[in-house]
Amino acid sequence: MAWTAPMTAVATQVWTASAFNTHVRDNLNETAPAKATTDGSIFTVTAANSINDAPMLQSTVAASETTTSTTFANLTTVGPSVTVSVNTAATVIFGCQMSNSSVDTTALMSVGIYDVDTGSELTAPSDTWCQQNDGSPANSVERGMVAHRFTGLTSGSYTFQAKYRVGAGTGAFSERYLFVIPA
Amino acid sequence: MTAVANAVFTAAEYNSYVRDNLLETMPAKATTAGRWFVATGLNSIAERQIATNTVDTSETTSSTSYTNLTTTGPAVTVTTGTKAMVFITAQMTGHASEATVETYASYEVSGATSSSATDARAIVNDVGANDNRISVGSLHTGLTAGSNTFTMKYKCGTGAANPHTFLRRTITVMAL
Repeated sequence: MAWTAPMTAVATQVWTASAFNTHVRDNLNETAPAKATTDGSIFTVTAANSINDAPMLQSTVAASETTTSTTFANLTTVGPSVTVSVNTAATVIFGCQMSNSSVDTTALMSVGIYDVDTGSELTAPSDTWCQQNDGSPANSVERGMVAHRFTGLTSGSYTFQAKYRVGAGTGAFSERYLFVIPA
Repeated sequence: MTAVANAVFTAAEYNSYVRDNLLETMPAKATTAGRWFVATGLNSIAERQIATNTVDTSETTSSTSYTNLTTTGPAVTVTTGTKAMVFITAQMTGHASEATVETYASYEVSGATSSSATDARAIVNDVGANDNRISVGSLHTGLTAGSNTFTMKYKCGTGAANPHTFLRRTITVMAL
């Protein structure tokens, strides 16, 4: 049942079971303790007078793997990736340790959004929201992070997955992590 | 209140202990999808915003003190308590002739709070003409509660005589 603005009691008014059920029981069922399901979750607003329990999830891939792809692609070990339910936005924090075998050449990590059922790409990874290392000298290693907030989402469940590319040369990526704050 | 057997439950008590307490809960205070809730003190909560803004344009400065670029920002304005989580991201390039001169991006706070950009919360790049894109996150404390504007600022390191470049600049603030 949805939230109802609590009634204002009037002296000598009969307090009915229906009034209790609407204004006390059903409203209490809309509060955070009633909605809480998962340790470590946060509470987010889904609409006026409506909240939900939103778990924050993280995925990591430690393995150092390489690519020569100049368009965003998976590494041998796909990911990291997280499937999470969101309302209209999600803040994604991701990063890794990266290098490029060629001097003055970029290695990039970005995140795309994918359909949970079909795996089809809904939002492509982009240089606009990437971690980038422009190696000088060759094979110089940097570990960093990027925070990016995806907005304008339709409420539902999505898979957020990291992908990688290089400007040229061979990029190496390790200690890869991604976590999603579903807000 | 604690109920007592056979005590009359008055309208006034209902209004204080049921109605008014329910009006302090999250569903009563929830207004806008995408926001979240934080505690503001003992027995008190508030709905807070998570805001982000981006300026993709590539622009330059040779200033050695924090300054705006041609396109100021990005900036976001949110209502906060005394804290906020702030993430800034930028792709930055130094100058080929200044291989050891750093490039910095930080942020300032204005509005209820006045806090200048500092190196302590800056992204720093030190690779000459090569460009990296990374973020820095801060739990900013000591804010004055109220409407605060967070604006990215930029500078070059000591000895810079040539322009350094900044693009794909993003700020995300999670108000607490």
